[in-house]
Amino acid sequence: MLGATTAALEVRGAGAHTTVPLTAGGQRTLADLPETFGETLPVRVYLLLEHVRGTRDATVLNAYVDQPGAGSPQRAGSMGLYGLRLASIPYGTNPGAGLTFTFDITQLLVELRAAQWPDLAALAISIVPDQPLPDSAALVVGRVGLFSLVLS
Amino acid sequence: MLYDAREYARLRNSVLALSLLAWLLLLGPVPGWLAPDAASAPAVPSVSYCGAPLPMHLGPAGANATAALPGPVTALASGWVLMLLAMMSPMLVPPIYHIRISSFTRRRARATALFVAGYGGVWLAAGVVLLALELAAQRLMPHSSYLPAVFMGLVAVGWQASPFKQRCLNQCHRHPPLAAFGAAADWDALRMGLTHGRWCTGSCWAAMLFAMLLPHAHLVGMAAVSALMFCERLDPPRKATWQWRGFGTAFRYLSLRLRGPRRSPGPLLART
Repeated sequence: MLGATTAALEVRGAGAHTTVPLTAGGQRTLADLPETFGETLPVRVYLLLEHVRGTRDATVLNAYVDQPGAGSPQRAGSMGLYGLRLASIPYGTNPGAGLTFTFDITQLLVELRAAQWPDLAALAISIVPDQPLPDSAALVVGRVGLFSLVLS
Repeated sequence: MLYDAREYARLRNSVLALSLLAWLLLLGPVPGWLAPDAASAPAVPSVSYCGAPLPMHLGPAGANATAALPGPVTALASGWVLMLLAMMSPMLVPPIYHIRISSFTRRRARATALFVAGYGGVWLAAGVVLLALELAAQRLMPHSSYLPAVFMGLVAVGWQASPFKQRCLNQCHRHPPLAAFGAAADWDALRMGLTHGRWCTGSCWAAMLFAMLLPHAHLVGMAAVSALMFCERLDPPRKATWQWRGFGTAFRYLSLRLRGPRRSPGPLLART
């Protein structure tokens, strides 16, 4: 794990924003990414939106990655929340842990580094719904995390 | 959560090696520090992991007692820990992997240790109760009687098929979200160990007590119970009902490995 948020993130209205602080090891991992992206790259970086809970199944959320304060977010991916309600309720065999979404953002980070991104201590993550959510219907993202995986 | 096959394999192999080492120690002779009264007790090849394998006769004073009472408390505790390592550790691979993959690299060892401490603490407390029941059964029944084991075996079979057992197994599969930083991360790891230990104890207590009450072939009983407990954890969570459970997934896996996948019959074509 390269970094993670410390608190859950509530997504309401037009969306939500948070900052993922990176550990020293995480910063080194990102700094060691090559300057060009190739399919044979041995290290991949993933953005995880863990334990997404709520009741609005018919919602599509978009995840964006940016450097804090840069104002040029890059889209990491989209997630449809089908099954969210059932996954959020602890009952019977269901642990109620919600849904977890994974996005491979390796290419995105390599391209951002190529655009002379300065040393990173954190990543800015934005979660924006396709349609604005009513204020009464909160979606909660348990944790936003950044992971790296060394492919064999 | 990300599944890293190499990390999982590394963890699995380490844990299985630890379990194997514990089994080898169980099969070996009783070390001197575990049996301080070995000079007065008859020599036996197997470890007194819970006070039971040594031939004992806890009859009234003055009777022809042929063996010493169970070893001191520290010996019992040490033996119990050794037995837990041997029997339980293979089932802890998935939760420990969850702990490690949810933690920063610098915190992994600490989080794992806290989880194991919580889990082990619950089983140590359960061990006090189970050992007390075992000693009570030995005191009340004739020497080397199978009656307690038979009775407990029937209870264990009933528990194995019960919905209460399935609820415990379902809870053993739950891996809660864990905090990543600070004291909250430590507390979450410890709490996961305590919770997992509680449900594991609830799932396995009957089979464990059955193996402990066997007057002979303890280690065979322990090995059989270990195999059962490992195989039943391979089953996915399911509805809590009265049904036989234990080896379904393991048998299907073995069948697949030995016979290969079955070919499904081709589609029936309409005759023209």
